[in-house]
Parts: sequence; C-alpha cells; structure tokens
Amino acid sequence: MRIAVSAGGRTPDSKVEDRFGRCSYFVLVDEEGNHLETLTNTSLDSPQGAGIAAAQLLINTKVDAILTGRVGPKALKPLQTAGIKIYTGVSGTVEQSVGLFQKGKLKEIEKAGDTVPGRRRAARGGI
Amino acid sequence: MEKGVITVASGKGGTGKTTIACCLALSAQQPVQFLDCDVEEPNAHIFLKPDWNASEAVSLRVPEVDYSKCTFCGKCADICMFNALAVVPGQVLTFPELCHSCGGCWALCPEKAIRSVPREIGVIEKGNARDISFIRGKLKVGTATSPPLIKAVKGTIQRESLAILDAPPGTSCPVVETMEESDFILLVTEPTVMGLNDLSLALEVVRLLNIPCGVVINRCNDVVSKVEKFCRENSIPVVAKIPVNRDIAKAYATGIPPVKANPELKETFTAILNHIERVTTGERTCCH
Repeated sequence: MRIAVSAGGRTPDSKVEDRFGRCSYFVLVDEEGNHLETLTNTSLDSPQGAGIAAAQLLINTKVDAILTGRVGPKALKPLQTAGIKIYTGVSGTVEQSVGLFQKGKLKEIEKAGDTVPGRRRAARGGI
Repeated sequence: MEKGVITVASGKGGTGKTTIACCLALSAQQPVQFLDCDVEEPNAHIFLKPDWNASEAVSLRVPEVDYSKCTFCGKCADICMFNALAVVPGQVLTFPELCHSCGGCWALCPEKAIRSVPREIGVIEKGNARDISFIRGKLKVGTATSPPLIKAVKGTIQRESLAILDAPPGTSCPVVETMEESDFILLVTEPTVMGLNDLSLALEVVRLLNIPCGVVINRCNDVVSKVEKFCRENSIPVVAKIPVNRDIAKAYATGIPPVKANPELKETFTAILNHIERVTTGERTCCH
C-alpha cells in the first residue's frame, strides 16, 4: 500500500501541511511506515487548479491513500474517481499521522471542504 | 473628435471611470459608440439609459472527450497549463470553469479523441441612447475569466466612428484586454493616497502597451498637489480636473451624469475630447 502525506519537508519527520493542493511535498510511505519516496508538488504555485494537478500527480504515481489537512472539491473529484482513500484533519508530523493511520484512528473523508483560494492577487480581475 | 478608440481606465475602483466615460459620450458632437467593458459588473446603462434592442450569447470552446477513441494516455492533462483536465483510469474529468479555451488539448490529442463544445460565458447586449450606440458585456455568474467576453464586446467596435470604452478597475488581464488597441487611454484618479498609488500601477500597464494617455483628477479638492506632482514627474498631461461638488454627487446618486446635472461641465469634456484628438492625430506629441 502506498500512502501519500502532504508535507512541508522531504522526510518523514517533516510537519504535515494543511492544504492538499498547495503543499510543498508529498512524502510517500508504505503501511508499515517505511519511507518509499518523496514527490515535489510542482503545482504549488499554479494560479488555478493546483489541487487537480496534485491529484493527477498522485494518481499517476499510483497511491492508495492520502493523509492531509483538507482537500478542496475540485481535487476530491479525480481522487475519489480513482478510488483513492482520503483522510483529512491530519496534523503533526508525517510519522505521527502515519502512526494514527496504522491504529485506525483517522476518519475517511465523506465530503469536500471549501475551495481554497488560489494565488490571485486581487479578488476581482484574476488572470 | 470623429473617430478613434478611447479607453477610460484607472487602477483604483470607484474613482469615476464610468461617470467620466458617460460624460465624454454625452459631450461628443457626433454619433458615438459606448462599450461597457466592465463585464463583471457593468453599470454605465444606469447613467446613459439605453433602450435595449439586441442580445447575443458569447461562448468559449471547451473540451469534450470521445471515449470510443480515448486511450487515457494523459497527454491532455499533462499539457493543460490551466489544470482543467484530469485523467484517471477509465475516465477523463474536465473542469470547464478552469478552461481558457487555448485549444491545446484538442489540437495535441494523439487519438483525436477530444472535440470542442461551446460553453456560454456571458452575453453582449446592445441598445441606443439618442446618438449613443450602447454595447455592454455581461459575464455569466460563476464564470471566472472575463477577457474572452471583453474581446467579443470589442469586436463590435466600428473603426470609422468614435468609440468610448469603460474599463474594469485594476491592472490585471481584463484591463489589459480592454486597453489593447486603443488610441488613447484616459486614466481617472482621485486625490487620495490609494488613488495615486493605483494610478502609478495603471500607468505602468499603459507604458507597457505604449499607448498615449492623460489623467483626469476627479473629485478635485485642495490636496491634488501630489497627484499633479506625480503627473509632472512622469510627463503625463492632466487633461481635466473635476471639482468635488455636492450637487454632482446628489445627481449621480439618482442616475444623472454630471454633464446633465451641471451643463457647464460639458465644456470640460469637450476640451478633453479635443485634447485627445490633437494627440491621436499627431498634432501634439504624446505623454511619452
């Protein structure tokens, strides 16, 4: 099983990042908690659709589950269509959140959170 | 002034773009086109009160996938810089609201499995207010990108007559789209710190587009010196100063434009049009 955790750093002792689409890295571990690899979230600075692009990245790398703070509705659609299990409300470090996952203490998502604002400078106008 | 395209813009919102643009149209000596390019919240009709007589929908082309041909190779999602597509096993998800209609996906799909279908983004409405041919764009609620609609509104410009464009506020893409290909840009500002700051931002855009410009200081009071100093330092002519006046404000609040509330002001606007004509016909060198 491949588990992706949205993180601020490359290693399992990094802190979990709250925003799925705009986190810096995805730390991938197996169900035993072994570090498999780390993916850089290249869509971090996208003006729009960062969550969709991050979802695409994880779908392409065939992850089975995601641990993160929150996921917007647009990112949720491809993730759920691909059958990836999503666990939100996660905080602390990558290792700690994987520990909670192993103990069955995380709850699987049922509905998406609000859309997270992109990196637009002004409310009106946009790109 | 008989022909040419004048865009009335400002960095800051609420400086009086629409008011000034309407007054210019009402002060023109011959038939004029008025285009409300502030398609997110068009409001010039409140002052010019056109009789509407036409409406047409404006659409963008967005992708639709033919599953009998799609191999889920992922090329479309890979090349989409707007993240408007996601390819999951057995399905291609499209996000039309994020699509900028660049055409990349249907041009580059190796299986020719993507065709383009229309998605309505707004309407163009036309009407007449005496000698003013009034055109406005109205963006559909929920549509995030307005430049394609602004482009469609500008498609109605008749180059042989005078066209006055009311731009959206700010300095981003919708403003650039409105300003492009104008003969002159009238920047409306107010004597406030934010008015001046946003004027300087708007001027940067105008300079990049390399279009002659001038400044109108609206709601003028005794503290205009900073704006005037800025204009002097940047060699931009201050083409008019509209005084702050309670009667103008009262009339405005009931939908009556300043030149109708105070006919003496018409001279000011005629002078602005004359100034613009001199600049655009080359009788006078432009601001840069």
